[in-house]
Amino acid sequence: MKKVGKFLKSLFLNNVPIKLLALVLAIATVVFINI
Amino acid sequence: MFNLNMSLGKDFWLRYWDKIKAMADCFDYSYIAEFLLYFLSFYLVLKILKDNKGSKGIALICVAVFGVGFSLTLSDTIPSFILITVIAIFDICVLIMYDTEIKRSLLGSGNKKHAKKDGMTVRDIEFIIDEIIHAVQHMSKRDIGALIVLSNENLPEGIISSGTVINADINTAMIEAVFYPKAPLHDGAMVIEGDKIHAAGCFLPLIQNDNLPQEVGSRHRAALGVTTVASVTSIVVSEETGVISIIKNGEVKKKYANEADLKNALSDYYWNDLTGEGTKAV
Repeated sequence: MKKVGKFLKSLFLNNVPIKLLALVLAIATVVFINI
Repeated sequence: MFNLNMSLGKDFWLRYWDKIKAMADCFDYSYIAEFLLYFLSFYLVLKILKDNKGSKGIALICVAVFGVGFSLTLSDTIPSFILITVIAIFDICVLIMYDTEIKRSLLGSGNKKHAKKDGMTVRDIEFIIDEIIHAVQHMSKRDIGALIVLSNENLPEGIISSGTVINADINTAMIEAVFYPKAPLHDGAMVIEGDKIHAAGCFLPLIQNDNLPQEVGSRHRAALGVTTVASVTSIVVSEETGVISIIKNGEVKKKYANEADLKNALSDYYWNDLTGEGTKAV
């Protein structure tokens, strides 16, 4: 569990570019709302 | 209600894909406007969270958006505005939680560089650094309280106007004279900008943090407060103990700073904060 937590932390804090994450979330939101 | 009979197997995803295709067929330009709005909203919130080490918040937003989103697609009765409401709640929470950080960026007190160092030689800067270190150490030995803010012309105008503008050259005697306990300007912060003591007797915003121990005095609270609202470095000499502390970005970087720590902090200010990273004066 600890390893999974560390992996998620590193994934969300360091490795994922914020613009890419915002892009994915924005596209997902538009799809979820209009589908 | 959720359609529990609906399989999450291949059929489900095929139907899901058909829905997406149907959505694409009736494409509307309002989708682009919607997308831009959400992108901007997510980007700002995620940036604030990332800058302030809010990784849990980032994870929570992702889980919430995808969780509520999938619930919307699985259910026929959940209205789509629920997802918008969830996003709005997250946005408002981040705005409330990180209000001081947002205020700092809105005040334009980021890493503003100025050209005040033009004409200053390496020898001038080394002289100034030595003078400040001598003054701080001397005051520390004599238990004279002091608060020096190394500013980059990025302090809110209200702070400067609360004190007295001096525009004096930096030297040990001048710094000590300002903080001499019976001097009229000793009970406030001294603002140094480049090669000048810009102002003294300035009143700084105190940090409102209940987690701070009781022994943290008003001078340290003021230093923490000003470094929270502006990208400046503060040097504090405790009146009670004579301990020198270096405070930056709303955190105590060195609680018991020695000569080397002071030199590092001042060098960092003169070589990086003023001239731009890695640039040295000629």
